[in-house]
This record gives sequence, structure tokens and C-alpha cells, in this order.
Amino acid sequence: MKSVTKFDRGEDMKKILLGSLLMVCALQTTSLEVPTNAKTQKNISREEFDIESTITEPNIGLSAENRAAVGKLLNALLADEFAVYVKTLNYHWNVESPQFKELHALFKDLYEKQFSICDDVAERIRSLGEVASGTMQEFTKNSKIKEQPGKKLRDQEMIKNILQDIEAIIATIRVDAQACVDTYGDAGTNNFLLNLLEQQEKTAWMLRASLAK
Amino acid sequence: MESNIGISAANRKKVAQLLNTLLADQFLLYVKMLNFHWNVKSHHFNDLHAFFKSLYETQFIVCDDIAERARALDEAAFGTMQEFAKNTRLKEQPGKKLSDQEMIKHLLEDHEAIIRIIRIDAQTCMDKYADLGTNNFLLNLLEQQEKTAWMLRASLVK
Repeated sequence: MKSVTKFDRGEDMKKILLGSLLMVCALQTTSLEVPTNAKTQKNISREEFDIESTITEPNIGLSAENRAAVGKLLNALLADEFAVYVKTLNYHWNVESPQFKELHALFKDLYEKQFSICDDVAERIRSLGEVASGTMQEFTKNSKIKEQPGKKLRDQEMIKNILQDIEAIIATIRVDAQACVDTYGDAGTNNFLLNLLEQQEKTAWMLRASLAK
Repeated sequence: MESNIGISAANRKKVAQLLNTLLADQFLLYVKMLNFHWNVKSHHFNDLHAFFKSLYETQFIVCDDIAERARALDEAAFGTMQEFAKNTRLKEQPGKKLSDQEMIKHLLEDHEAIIRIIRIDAQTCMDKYADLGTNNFLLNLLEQQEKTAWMLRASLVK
């Protein structure tokens, strides 16, 4: 039993030596990296270092000013899209119609689509290193979509309202997409917005087709 | 057609008011979860991004269920941000940067506040409005949200 213990100790020593070697290598790498990322900061904790590091700022060929400007434009769009999302939820819940089941399902389909749009717009904002609006206060303040609290609407009026809101959003996106490429040189957001434009033009057609003439 | 389910119109209205106020709270909490899903920064980003997603998905169903319970009582459900913002008892922190742990703490505190509200509301439905259906509905919700609160509490570093 004793010899086995001795043998294990020898193995342990090998491991410790190997470990020390690896640590030295790691320390050397760290000492090479730290000064380039935190030039003026001394004795910074690992936690602070990671959070404040310049690596967390996107370096994707867009200036900070332009990223902020596009972030702002996208946050305004997010507020509009979110308002339409809440409106489609509202109609899903409150619709009364001889076609109840059909419209309840149509509005569900719409709010699901509208939710993914909101999620995509918010995540595009985050991809630019900007903060996405995430409070009802910001959404209400920044949205140009009108709500009608407490108003009872007929089924056809509901469809008409959503159609008009989406058409207003389409018009906004058309201008925004152009601004992204012309003013801010942001090809990614331009492409993102054009895909969204096309998708919402399709939804608008379906709503238009659901309106009785 | 007026609903004829053994609860007076006056009582249905009162219960729906209570449900709509609760819906406003739950919807605000839903938006907060979305916010944190989008804006979290953490060494555990992927974990928390997914955790907040699972929370907002559950929370969405909670909102949908409450709205449909109000409709089952033949009352209108709130469906505008104006109504949600006006009636909620919870607070938002627009523009405030929060750490991952602060986010979890906010969600926990909101859950606990809602749980305390539901505990009283469920009793009121039974004692004052004789609405067994909503009482049962709220107790199921209470139990579910107590479970979520535990998970949030367990995620907080001591």
C-alpha cells in the first residue's frame, strides 16, 4: 500500500510541475494581452476588465455615432412594431364576429409574426452595440401608432386599423432603409430593413384582401 | 348575447376589473423579461438569454390566459399599452443599466409582489363575488408563479 502511495505522489509531482509550466505560459499570454486592451488601467479586477474592455465595443467598420444614430432609428421602429404587436393581441382577445374562430386565429398568426419582428429589431439594435428599448414607457413615448383604449370595434374595423398601421410602418421603413445606406453607410441594417419591408408588404396585402369591399 | 353562468353582471364586472389590473401587472413583467432577454450582459450570457426567453414565453401564456378569463366572463380585456401602463402596480426602469444579478432580483421582487396580490384577489373572488371559476384559475396561477419565484431566488448569488 505504501509503495502505491509513493508512486501516486510521484505522479502528483509531475502534474504539479506540468501545471506550473502551463500557468507560466498562461501568465505570459495574459501579460501580453492586458496592456493592449487596458492601457492606462492598473490593478484592474478580472470582472471589471472584461466588462470595460474595448472588445465589448463593436469594431465592424461603423463609427460609434452612426451606430448610435441607427440604433435610435431602430428603437423608434421597435416602438411602432411593439404597438402593433399589442394591438394584434388586443384584437385576438376582444374580437366578436360570426367569423370569431377564423379571426381569433388570424390575429394570433399576426401577433406571432409581429412578435418575431420585435425580437429581430431588438436583436439588430444589440448587434450594433446599442441598448434596445424594453419598457412600455419608452414604447408609448416613441411610437407613432395610435391606440384606442376602451373603444369597441367591429371585426372589419380591427382589420382596417392593423392594415393602416402596417402601411404607415412600411412607409417609415422605406425612408429608414435608404437613410441607413446613404447617411450612415450601414449596409447590414439596410438589408435587414428591406427584408422586413417585403415581409410587411405581404402581410398588408393579406389584410387588404380580408376587407370586405 | 349576455352571459348566463350563475354570476351576476355586477360581479362579473368587478372580477374582470380585478383581472384586468392583474393583466396590466403581468404584461409589464412580460415586457421586463423581454427587455432583459435583449439587454443582458454577463459571463453567462447564453444561459441568461435563454433563461429570460423561457420566462417571457411562460409569462406570455399567463397574460393570454388572464385576458381570455376576462373574456370568458363576457368582459373586455385590456389591450393597449396605455391601459397597461396606467393600471399596473409594478415599476419600470427605463434607460437604467442593470447587472445580470440585479435583473434577476427585479424579476423576483415583481413575482413576489404579484403573488401577494393574487393571494388576496383569489380570496376576494370567492368571498365577495362567489366566482369559483376565477378563484380556481387564480390559485393555479399562484402556484405556478411561486415555482418561478423559487427558480429566480435560487439563481441569486448569496
